[in-house]
Amino acid sequence: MKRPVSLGAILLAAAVFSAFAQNAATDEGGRVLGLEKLWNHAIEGKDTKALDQLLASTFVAVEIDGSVSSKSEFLASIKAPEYQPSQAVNEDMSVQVYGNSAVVVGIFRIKGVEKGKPYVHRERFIDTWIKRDQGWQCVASSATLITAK
Amino acid sequence: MTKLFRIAALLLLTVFPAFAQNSPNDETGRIIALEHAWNRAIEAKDTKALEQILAPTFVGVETDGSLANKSAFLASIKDPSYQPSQTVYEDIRAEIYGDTAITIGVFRIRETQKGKRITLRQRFIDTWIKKGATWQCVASQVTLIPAK
Repeated sequence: MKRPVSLGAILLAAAVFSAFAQNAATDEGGRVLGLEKLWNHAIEGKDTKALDQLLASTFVAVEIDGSVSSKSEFLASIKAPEYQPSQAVNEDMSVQVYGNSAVVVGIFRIKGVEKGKPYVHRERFIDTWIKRDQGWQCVASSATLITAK
Repeated sequence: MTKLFRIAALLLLTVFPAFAQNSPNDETGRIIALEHAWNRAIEAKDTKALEQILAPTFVGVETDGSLANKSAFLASIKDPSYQPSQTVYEDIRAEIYGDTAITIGVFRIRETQKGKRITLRQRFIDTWIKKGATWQCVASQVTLIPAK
């Protein structure tokens, strides 16, 4: 015979399920933020194989000068010998998960040397990630140089 | 199909768009129409229309890298000192990923600064999320394209 389910048990189950659902969203958000960090390490190491896994085949990037790159153009720019990043870190990041997509907003600080000139940039970025069978992949990334004080 | 049935079917699809099996092309057209509606709303300072287009979690990045949430964005449009300029799309395309869409393009803005008529070009990327039958923009970023 089935035991009658009390209201307390239903409420407890609802609370556990709700916490589980919230944790699931938080877990996914944490996963995406972890991938953002991997992306930075891959840039520092000019590791285009790792980037190839992180970026969707339809990936598009908008650079700080308003130019647009496809995935292959973006990877080629990282591979270019004149591109020498020394440090790539995110100062601040927040993620919003919408089912199978996630939007990350943050500030990216990059130090490096390009064409013999050292530079430090602070850029506001928005990345959009899509969850597929093989995991999360970034489909769009845009960056704007921070000039606001 | 009789004429009456065709009219009824059309009416049903208009009233209940979720009944329609939308192809990606239909969704692309819808998103691009929303982008145009967004522009018209900005030109008219129509924050009620913008309220519908933008999700509560909306974030916008301006050309100076500053960040605005939905209420800050709407307040900036409503501000009496904000004089909207004429904005036209030079180029726009959308990529649909199920209930997520990305639009990318260039808009050209004509405005007057210190008495001079100038034209600015900005690259934008917008992220749209579909909830039920409705698309709303959750993120928008603009980057100035330097004049050559």
